[in-house]
Amino acid sequence: MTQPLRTWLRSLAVAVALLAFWDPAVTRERADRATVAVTGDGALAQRVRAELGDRFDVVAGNWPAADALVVADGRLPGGYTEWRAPALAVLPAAGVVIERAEASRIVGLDAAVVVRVSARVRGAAGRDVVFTLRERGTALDRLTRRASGDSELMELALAAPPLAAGTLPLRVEAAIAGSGAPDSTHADLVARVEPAPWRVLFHDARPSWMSTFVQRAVARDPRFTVASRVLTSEGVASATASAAGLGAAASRYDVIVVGAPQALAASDVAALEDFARTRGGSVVLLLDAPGAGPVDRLTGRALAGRDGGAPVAVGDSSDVAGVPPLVATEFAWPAALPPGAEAIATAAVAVAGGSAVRRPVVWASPEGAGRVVASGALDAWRFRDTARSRFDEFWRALLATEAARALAPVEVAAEPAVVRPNEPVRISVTVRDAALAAVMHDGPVTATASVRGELRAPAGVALPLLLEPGALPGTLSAIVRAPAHDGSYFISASLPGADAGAPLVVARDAAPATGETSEALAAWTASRGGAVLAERDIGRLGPMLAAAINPPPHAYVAHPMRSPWWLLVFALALSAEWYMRRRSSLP
Amino acid sequence: MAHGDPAAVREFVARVRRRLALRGALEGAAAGLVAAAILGALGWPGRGAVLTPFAAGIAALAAGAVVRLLLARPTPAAAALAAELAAPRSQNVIFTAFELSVAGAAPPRVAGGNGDDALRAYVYDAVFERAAREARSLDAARLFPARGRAAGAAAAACAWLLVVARATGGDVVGLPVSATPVIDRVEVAIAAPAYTGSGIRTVRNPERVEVLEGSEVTVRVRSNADSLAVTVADSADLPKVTSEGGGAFSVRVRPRASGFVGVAAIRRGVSAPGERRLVGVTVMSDAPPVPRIVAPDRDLMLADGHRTLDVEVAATDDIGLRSLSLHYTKASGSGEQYTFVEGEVPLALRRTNATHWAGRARWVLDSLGLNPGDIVVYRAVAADARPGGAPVESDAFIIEIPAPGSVAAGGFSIDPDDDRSALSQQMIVLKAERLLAAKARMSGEAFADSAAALSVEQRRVRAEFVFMMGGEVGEVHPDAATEDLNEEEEAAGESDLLAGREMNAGRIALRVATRAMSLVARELDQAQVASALEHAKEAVKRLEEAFSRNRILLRALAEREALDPSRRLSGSLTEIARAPRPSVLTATPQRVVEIRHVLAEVSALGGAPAANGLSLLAERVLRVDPGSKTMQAAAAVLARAASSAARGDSAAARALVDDASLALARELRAGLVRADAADADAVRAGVLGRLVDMLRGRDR
Repeated sequence: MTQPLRTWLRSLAVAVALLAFWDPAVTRERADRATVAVTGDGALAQRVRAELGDRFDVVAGNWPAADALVVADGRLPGGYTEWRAPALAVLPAAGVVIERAEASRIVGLDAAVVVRVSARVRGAAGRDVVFTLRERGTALDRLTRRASGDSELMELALAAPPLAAGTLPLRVEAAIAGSGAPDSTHADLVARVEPAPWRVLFHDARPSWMSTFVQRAVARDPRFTVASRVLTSEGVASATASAAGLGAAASRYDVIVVGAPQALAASDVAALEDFARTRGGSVVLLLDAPGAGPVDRLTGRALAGRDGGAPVAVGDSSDVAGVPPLVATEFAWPAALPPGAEAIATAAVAVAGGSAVRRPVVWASPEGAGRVVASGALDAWRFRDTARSRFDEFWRALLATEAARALAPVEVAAEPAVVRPNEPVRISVTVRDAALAAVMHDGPVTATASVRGELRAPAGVALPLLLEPGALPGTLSAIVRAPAHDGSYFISASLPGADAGAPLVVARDAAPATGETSEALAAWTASRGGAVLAERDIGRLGPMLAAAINPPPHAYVAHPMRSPWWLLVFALALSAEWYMRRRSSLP
Repeated sequence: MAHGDPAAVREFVARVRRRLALRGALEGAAAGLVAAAILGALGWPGRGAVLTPFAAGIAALAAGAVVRLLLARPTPAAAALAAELAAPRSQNVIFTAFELSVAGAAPPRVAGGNGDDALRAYVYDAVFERAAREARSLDAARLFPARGRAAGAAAAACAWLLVVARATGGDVVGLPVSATPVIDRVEVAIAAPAYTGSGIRTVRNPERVEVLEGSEVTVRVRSNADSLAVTVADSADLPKVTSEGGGAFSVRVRPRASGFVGVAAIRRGVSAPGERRLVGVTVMSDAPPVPRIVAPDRDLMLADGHRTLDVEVAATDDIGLRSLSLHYTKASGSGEQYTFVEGEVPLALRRTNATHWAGRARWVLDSLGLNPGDIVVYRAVAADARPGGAPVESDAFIIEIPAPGSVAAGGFSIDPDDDRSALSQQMIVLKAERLLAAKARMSGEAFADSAAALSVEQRRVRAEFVFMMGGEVGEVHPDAATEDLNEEEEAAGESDLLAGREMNAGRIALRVATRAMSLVARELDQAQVASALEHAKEAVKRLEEAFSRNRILLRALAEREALDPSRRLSGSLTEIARAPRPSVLTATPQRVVEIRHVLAEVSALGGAPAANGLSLLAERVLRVDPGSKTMQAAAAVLARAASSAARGDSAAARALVDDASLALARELRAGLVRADAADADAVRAGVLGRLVDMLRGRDR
């Protein structure tokens, strides 16, 4: 009886040995576990990862090679336009998503940076939402808003005083007060702070009170570098040391303010026109008397006027004390605004019959790539007292706006300007003269420019950037990976005689405000075969992903005899056979 | 007789022994507590000792009890003896029984034994029986009461607690042991200047104190440090620190301006920075007193000096008044011959409290011997208790006895009930009409006084017109006819008149008006209100002529001064001097720069700020502007953050740092404009410009 068994066991051991020696290869097919990337760092993202961990291989963060993407932080991920696989989103039951946080790219050191924020608040009806603006962790402004509905879009403005010139990284934090939720959402942005970013030339065709007092208001503002030139008589001018003539103003100033423009000669008007059209600067005309002249070419229309009468408030926004921006008694205004012009300030001018009609007394119109702003509040300088008007504040704000619009010879922008390590960044460079030449003229335009781009690291190392022609003439672009180390970097582009730069901040927890709304998220996920789920429906996430992913099976080669369990089988078979022989008193 | 059982006796002796041990323990405990109290009064244990004061007291209590028991441990024999001595009625039977039980001398009990054994047995049993009976009837607690000793121990404990509480500032349980130098308590004693009469005020652990100028501030610090470093905001010199022993230090400062006093604990051999505390100091000045004339609170023109005036004065002060009086100056004479007599009117003072005084006087002007043309200027004078403080005068008022035909004295004021800014010649007319209408209801004296007051107002109106003309309107005798012009004056100004007589009609009309005003004043002085009214109306009419639109009131250029238009823009420009106009240099206010630096330092603190860094930052904030409430509040918040950080509560410290930085940022932002402009975009600007050109038909 034992003999057959012993034989069988012996045969088994030999077969295992032979097969092991042979090591056959077998081709099989199977479907791998799908990989799902989950973006977000908060509690909701952790919950999503825990929910999906049993069925999928879950990766935290945006991983381009994943089979699907789940957005758990309420914002479109970086590189979302290139994403092709299924994508879903889970929105928290209660939370804040900062959809937009914007500020001026360049600000003066002696100005408060205004950050405009749009945030979507969910599940916080009747509760306070606290918005905090920080620079490098230091809280600089805080606003609290009460949510009135279950889903509300809040828009607010925070202001931060820059602490030093250079790169200004800002973070907007938003949290529902008393929610018990440990995490708050945040959005990052960056601005560049310069001590005196704007250069203004005051050119008076003759001495003018209006120009004198506007200059005084602006000269006290550290954001402006002011030069002035007054034609006191024929061929005689009184100028500050740095003041250039109108012909040389293009490269040296951002704004030219003209006093007594009615006295300008035709050649001066032509120079101003060229300044606005081709340089992209702004020209501000401070009319102080009615009358026609070569400057009508810039104002665009013949002007009507009114003389005398009671002082009238100019402007549509008085402050909390009811003080209007300007007050004047004498006005000049265009009979009709030129095409493309807008009224900056209006005044109720009395007409025959005792009524009053609102006229645009300060208006602006595009002139080529630049602008011409005309002030028809002829004697507003007489009413400068702070109890009567906000004369100084009005002119500073207006000139700041115009100076910010002025085009630089070369502009650099990084999108996003705050980014996580190794994430893609799009760099855009615009060469003003080439771009304007292409846009403003018909027919082929040839423009050449030698542009050098660099990425400067904090340690002083500069890496050259490979810039390629962009979609529009005069533009260049590059897509680079953000550096792997946190820090403030600087992207520079230079032409002969001009250079520009933009800061790039790399941080591990960077969350740039993409400017995308929740509607955009819903549209994007739908376009990728997914949907937006509420937090309470998180249980549906797994089945939806499984249905959406469906990874195809793939063939693979297996070597079954390489399993170590065969050793056990071999050993047991031989041991059992030996035991049986010994029991049978066999050798 | 039952056999004698020594167990009862032994048990009784054991009870007595325990009782004696209890009493000994109480004695030892009391002695230990007394010793601990004495040591606590001497400052032991110190701040850095291993034992807290409370633990040291417990240890002393236990040590005292143990030592006492060890030294005088009650043996059983001593207990038995003590019981005999405490209960004499037992007649030594207990002690005997105890000795027998210890000796173990129980006699044999053998039936048929010899008589001695039986006797011994009998005695043995009798002794033990008697002793047991006595033992059962005796109460060891009554024999050896512990109440007194317990009371003594309690009293010692109370004394110890008092000493420890006083030494540790109430922290009886004891302050946590700390190897790093810490500050337990800061007491600020403020001694106001002696003249204020207020005593010394003590504040414990304040963030800020308000002191009167000239006060002496003593800061006492309790710490485990070896020494203290003290900084004072308004002094570069380090004040002297006095060590009072036992971890107590004191420093005296006399602040001259608002600032702070910062103390830092220093310990030898410890590298970690010691705790810092910051006490803000606000120095308030002793304001001068404010006297005023309550009644009559206007100038008076009296027909004669035979009047009695009821004068009422009052004065207030922030701390305390020293004196209040009424002074006058009488001026007599005319032209360049004036005599001045100074005097004081006795006041009946009513002192409501130290800061509010009032005074009344019934002033008989007869005593001054006033004649027509004399004026009396009177004012209240008050002084406060501040040493060296000069007396302060109130507004002065005038009493005038007008001479016939005189003008009002310079500086004459009008009735404060009138709205001075609305006073005009038209109002003079209105008031004169009202006065006339009310004449029938008034006494003669009242009518005359009212007319005199109106004359004063007329003079004021006239003076303002004269002032407006630059004082160029020559004084004209009020009796002169309107058409009579001074020929000499006319000759001197003939060029003016010839150059544009019509253009100067306004000046003439104004001159006539001021003349009419003089006549009004003269008539009112004589209570001739009706005729004064006519002149007043004439003045109004002339003023209307003067201010009509086609009149030029400004001085016209004389022929020799007129510009020659034909000579403008001519001449050689080769020798003109050209100099650049000065550029306006703007500088950021220093305060803004300093607040920026402070915020940058806040940023550098990081997520887990250290207590020492926060304390230093609080000092820095105060140095920016010690008198600013915002800076003071921010510094106080940072000081609280430092305390939180020292306790290890980083979250609370971080939240407080946020509050401070928000306050500083708000302060910084207040002086800045808001930068909210759109960024430049060349392509967008170019497209827009091209579109507009097309719309305007200027496509190029």
